[in-house]
Amino acid sequence: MKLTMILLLVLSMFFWGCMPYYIRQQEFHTRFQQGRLEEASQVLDKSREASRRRNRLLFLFNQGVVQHMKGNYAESNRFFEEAHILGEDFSRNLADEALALLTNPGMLEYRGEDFELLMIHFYKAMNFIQLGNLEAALVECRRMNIKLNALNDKHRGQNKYQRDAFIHNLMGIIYQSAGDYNNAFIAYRNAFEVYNEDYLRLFGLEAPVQLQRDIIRTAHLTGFSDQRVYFEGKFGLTNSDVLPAENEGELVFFWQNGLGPVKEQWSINLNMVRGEGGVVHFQNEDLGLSFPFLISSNQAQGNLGDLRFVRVAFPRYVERRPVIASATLSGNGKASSFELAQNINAIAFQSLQDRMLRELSTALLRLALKQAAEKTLRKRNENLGSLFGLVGAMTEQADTRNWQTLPHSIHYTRLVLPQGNNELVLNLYDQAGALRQEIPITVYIKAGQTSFVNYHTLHSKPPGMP
Amino acid sequence: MPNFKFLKNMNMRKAIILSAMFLVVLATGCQQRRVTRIDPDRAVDLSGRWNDTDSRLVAQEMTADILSRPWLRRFENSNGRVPVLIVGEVRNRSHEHIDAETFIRNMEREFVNTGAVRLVQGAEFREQIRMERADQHEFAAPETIARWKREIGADFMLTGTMNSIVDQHRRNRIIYYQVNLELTDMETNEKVWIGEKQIKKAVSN
Repeated sequence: MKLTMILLLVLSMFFWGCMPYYIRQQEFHTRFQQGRLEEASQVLDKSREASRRRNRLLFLFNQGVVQHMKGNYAESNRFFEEAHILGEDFSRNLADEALALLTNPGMLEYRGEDFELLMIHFYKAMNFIQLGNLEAALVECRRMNIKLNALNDKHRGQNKYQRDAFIHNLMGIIYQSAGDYNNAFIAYRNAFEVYNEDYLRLFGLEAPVQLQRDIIRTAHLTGFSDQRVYFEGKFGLTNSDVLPAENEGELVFFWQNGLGPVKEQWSINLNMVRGEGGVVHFQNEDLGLSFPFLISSNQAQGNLGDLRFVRVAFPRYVERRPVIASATLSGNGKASSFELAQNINAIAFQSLQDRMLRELSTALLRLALKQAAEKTLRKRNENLGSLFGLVGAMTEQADTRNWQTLPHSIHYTRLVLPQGNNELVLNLYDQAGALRQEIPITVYIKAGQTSFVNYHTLHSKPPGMP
Repeated sequence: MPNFKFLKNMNMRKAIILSAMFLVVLATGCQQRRVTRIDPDRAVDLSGRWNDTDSRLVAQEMTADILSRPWLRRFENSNGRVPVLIVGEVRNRSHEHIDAETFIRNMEREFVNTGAVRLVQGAEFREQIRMERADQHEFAAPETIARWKREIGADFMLTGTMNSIVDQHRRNRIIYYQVNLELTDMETNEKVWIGEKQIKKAVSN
């Protein structure tokens, strides 16, 4: 009786741990997606899963977004600042790493993907702008620049996410709003290069026309007339159409659409092929994978003797398609459409693919360690060995954690509006082009200044739904 | 290629040793963070991008050059006093976000400390000082008030540009920076001094 209870307990723990992270966080995500932000924040505060040290970064991400959406900008920045420091100061914890090697990588402290760590500064800069602290927003710009450089240094190779066009663009937008046209120009020009060279090839995303206009405008405002003429010719645009009049100001509207992907687990089967001179290849021909390992003695090969194939648990992203397909912003007798500036969904898939080979070999090492331990135990005691094998199989899991309150994609538009309160309408259209929702938004515009709105539409389909 | 030597002869004793090592790792726990203070004059190159050393080299070169050229003596001879400078804009046309302020401040400090050139406040903080002066006229004791229209007009304006060229092939990169500073006569628009500092770095990964 007692034994059954223990077994049940162990099994239930196993199945809970087995669930992908987004299901374990369901309670929070349901509320978040329905826009019940206050409740979502409370759930997060109470959640045992979220309070673990190894999940601290994810807790901070989620609270930061929730507080930002609630308009508690200072509070949101408190969370994001801690997340930034956590990301910067991350030190290797060898105990965690050893544990992860023997169990699964979900035991490691969550470090954040590069694009996630960059997005901290998007939210922080937006928060500071809403708080009227442009100087602090510029500090975030400089931090973005440091992280962009680090990202660029980390990866070598052509087809990788190693430069972020949107973040360069964002830096330009903020520099421009602070009147630093020179730095804005440099950031915009860098952004264009990345859109044109990387984003187009990797994600099929072209440089926004707004960015082209902004390059020309900041070149003009900095006094780089040669650059202005060059880019006017290159883009086929002229500088005349964009300057606001004396009693007008500007609005930069970021529309964050849907929700980024979640992670789930899948298994890869690898055949073991013994080669010459103690080399063992783990192969999966369907995926075109092959990992050679050197095992130096016959006896060690014997340890792996009855092994024909191994099953490795690996994470993969699953898209959550947004319900809204396009949007326009109307007001002041004009309607302007949004341009796609960042596809977080695509970047997530790309990032994981970029490091798949490296992660797979860690996963293989993990498996080999477990199996070696099982083997030794089995020699001593058959039952103990079997038990360990069972536990080993049970703990073999992929790390399915990621920042799940990020948008699927970010669109933006820039408008010139008269000073004072402006009544705008955000019109949301679905895939079929039908108007789904009209959201009234009031913006206060100060003459000669740039105001920002950051609006997140959360409607999205469940993971994997077409 | 990972070497799985430890799989060999995995008998009980080795298992014990291995678990002991594992425990040691557990006990050692987190890696200690180490911070070392280093001399600001020491050149440390990490990424190949613009850094403090570049800024210092520009400041050294420019300061030494500007103070040793004939424009200074010519001005002193014809006017019987040291010239007054104002620092204008240093435009950044390079591919990086470079702050000119670090070397401009170095130069300014050298000007003021040697007394060879006098400096007046540039556009950035001038307005703030004027506001404070206006404030004094409202609230300060009359005998302590700073008077209006006593600002010193500058004889020359220092402006500049920063340019860069990056040449890259596979894992090798050449980064070239050129910083130019110019001194222009406020009355005649004549350029009286042009300073240049070139920095070239080869980076290979």
